[in-house]
Amino acid sequence: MWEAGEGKALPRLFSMRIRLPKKRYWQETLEAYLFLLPALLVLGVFTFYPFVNAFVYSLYEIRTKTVPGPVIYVLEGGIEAWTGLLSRGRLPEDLVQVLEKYGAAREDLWVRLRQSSRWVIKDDGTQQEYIVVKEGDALRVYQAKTQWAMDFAGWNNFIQAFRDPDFSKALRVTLGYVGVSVPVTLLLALLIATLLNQAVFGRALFRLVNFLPYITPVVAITMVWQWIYDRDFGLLNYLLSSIAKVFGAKFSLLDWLNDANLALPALIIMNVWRFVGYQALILLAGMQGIDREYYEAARVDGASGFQVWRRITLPLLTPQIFFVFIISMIGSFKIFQEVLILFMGPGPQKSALTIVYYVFTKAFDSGHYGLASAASVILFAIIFVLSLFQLTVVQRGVHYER
Amino acid sequence: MKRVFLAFVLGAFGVLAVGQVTISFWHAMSGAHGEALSYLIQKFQQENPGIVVDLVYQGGYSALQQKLIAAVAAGQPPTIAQQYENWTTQWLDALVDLDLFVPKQVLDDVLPQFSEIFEGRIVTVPFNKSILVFYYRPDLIPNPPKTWEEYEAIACSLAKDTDGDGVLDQFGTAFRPPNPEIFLTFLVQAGGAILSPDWKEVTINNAAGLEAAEFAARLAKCALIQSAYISDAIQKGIPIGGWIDTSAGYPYNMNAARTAGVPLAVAPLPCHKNCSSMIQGTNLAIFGVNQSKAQIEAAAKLITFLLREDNIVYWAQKTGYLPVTKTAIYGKLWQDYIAQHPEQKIMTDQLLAGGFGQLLHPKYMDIRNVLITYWELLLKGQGTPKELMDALASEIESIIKG
Repeated sequence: MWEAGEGKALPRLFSMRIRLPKKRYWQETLEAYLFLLPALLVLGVFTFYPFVNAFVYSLYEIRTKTVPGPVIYVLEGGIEAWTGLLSRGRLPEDLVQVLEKYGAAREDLWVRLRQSSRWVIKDDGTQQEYIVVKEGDALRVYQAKTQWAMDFAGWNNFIQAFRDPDFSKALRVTLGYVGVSVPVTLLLALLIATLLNQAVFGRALFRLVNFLPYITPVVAITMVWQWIYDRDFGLLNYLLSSIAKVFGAKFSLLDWLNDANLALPALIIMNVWRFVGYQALILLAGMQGIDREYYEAARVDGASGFQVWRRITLPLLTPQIFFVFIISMIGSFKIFQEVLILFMGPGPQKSALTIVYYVFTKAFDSGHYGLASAASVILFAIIFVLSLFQLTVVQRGVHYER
Repeated sequence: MKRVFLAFVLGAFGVLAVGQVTISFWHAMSGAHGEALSYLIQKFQQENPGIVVDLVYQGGYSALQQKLIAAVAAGQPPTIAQQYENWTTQWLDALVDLDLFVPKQVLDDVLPQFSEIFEGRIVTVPFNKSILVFYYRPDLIPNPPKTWEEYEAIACSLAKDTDGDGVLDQFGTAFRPPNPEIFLTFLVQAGGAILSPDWKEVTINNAAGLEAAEFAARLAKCALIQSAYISDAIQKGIPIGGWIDTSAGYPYNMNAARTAGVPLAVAPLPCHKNCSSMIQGTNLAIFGVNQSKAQIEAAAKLITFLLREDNIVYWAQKTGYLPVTKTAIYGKLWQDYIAQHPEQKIMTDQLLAGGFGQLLHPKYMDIRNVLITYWELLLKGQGTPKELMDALASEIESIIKG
């Protein structure tokens, strides 16, 4: 750690002496960074680099195309001989001579792509590609630049995203999902944590059972829920019909996975169940960390159980509630795998199309990388603004025990 | 001494490696299909000792598509890969013109139903192809329908709400919203098309399109509509009279019927103005990007090998896919085989009666996405056929003109 007053003194500036840290400090800092290096590398490659690139790509129209670089030769007039040969996949002798000047070996050259007025020639030796393009009465030979064709598109990808009805739907579905699942999970977690905080028999077992869904792989969970939601053989419909029978009510089997009105509730129920145990555990840890003296004082003053919970537990638990709230909100905005597995698509009538699912299909199904990047930047902006709001406004209501 | 020995060993390996070409082949063939492909690749390597094929199973079709998109974008695609037409249109520039490397007689032998021209270029050959046929339960449908009228009459006479809860419990037929190819088959059977032959006009909402949509909407009222495979419903014992599915689904459908203890048979599709049926399945294409000419030539040899009659028939027998060349489908080997396997004869006859492929428009991927959206709306009665076809046509128009 940097300590003031250590090391060599520098000349006095504005009546303040600045001292450089000792050599040992730099050695320790270097060691610390060396320990951090693997983590930084992984984060850099898989988080920071894609993060920055998403911003860049969102401003471009991206296609996989061989694009021309600098012109290296122009053939004007008499182009038929060249085009005739190129169209048969052969190389004109004078073109070979031109390319030899650019370091190509004759035997390494071949026609990789042949269109009516555009040919791509590959040099196996240098891996350089050349494009021959027919432009009017001339043939131009270009050095091919790259396989990525990135045309600057400005805000076009963002405009296109907002005009796309699928994106608006994804936005609505995601907001609906977050708006319901986050508070419901939190309230249930609070209830469970309160119950587990009592001296009940088998508390450790309940804690474990509650936590199990969180540590089970999401794919396994979702596949089990696929069966639970099955219209004809699912557990949920069986339970609901049994309850209806007890009350003598008529019950139509609900098609959870194929009904557009039920898909989002199905997703919410599954994820509430999945995360409630994890959140309850954090809240329980928070409850158990509250100083017993407050409770004893309250009891001496004759406070009821609910009053103690309302006036002592809840206010002193706000840091944990706040943490759980913000983490679950960010996580909920990124919901994806569950949709993919539960519905094997975006759900009936795209009723479970979330933003990340939209990004995924636009990038990896349709190859619209720019649009997908723009959608992911919008998602980032939403999460960023909401998190900022929570950290500034909501946090004012958080009581930190001192 | 040790060094001399090491140098000798390395030298020997070096000599062996000289003249050897390694090509990578990405595919999505699992289970028995994967085993059949591995056998063929081993046979190819034995016949061509100078070529090593690195056969890489990439998971399902979606995984293969996503990995190919990423690989092409990174300029590192495999030498050869399976791909659907709407993937191919996304990376045409990265593909090799096959007529420059595969012998003409091999390409000329491909059945016309499978031969495809992408922007004037031959870049693919058919590989694992199947066709839509009619699966039916002979105990519910003694005589499979031959016309649309018969199909509708039979399907709607079978649809029953046995428990009176307002929801069907026995279905005349079944449709999957993610599978708009069935609608396209109805469309072509009614004499329609998505676009005019010059691709300048959207024709999906003309009289033929409307007739197909109205027919599908009427059938949908008597159908099970679910995103999961129909075989899943059969396996659960849900009674369905008959439905349209790919010939490649034969083993899965038969297995499901066996599990449920119900009989299942195959028939040609019911016809309308013609007996067209949409071809499904992928092609093979060679990527020129990041490959040497020697690798391209080796991959072309592999294509020639896979299109040889004995290999095609082996592949078709082991996998249930259709033979893709004239020599193979009319040859003695296949004709003897289908004489013993009547279901394969029905599938072969269905192909020859009018197999048609995907629209090779560069934006077909986006077009198919909106087709899925409106096919689902049509099946679920969310709008009249006319409204839906007009809205679909307008979306397709904005895609092709956008």
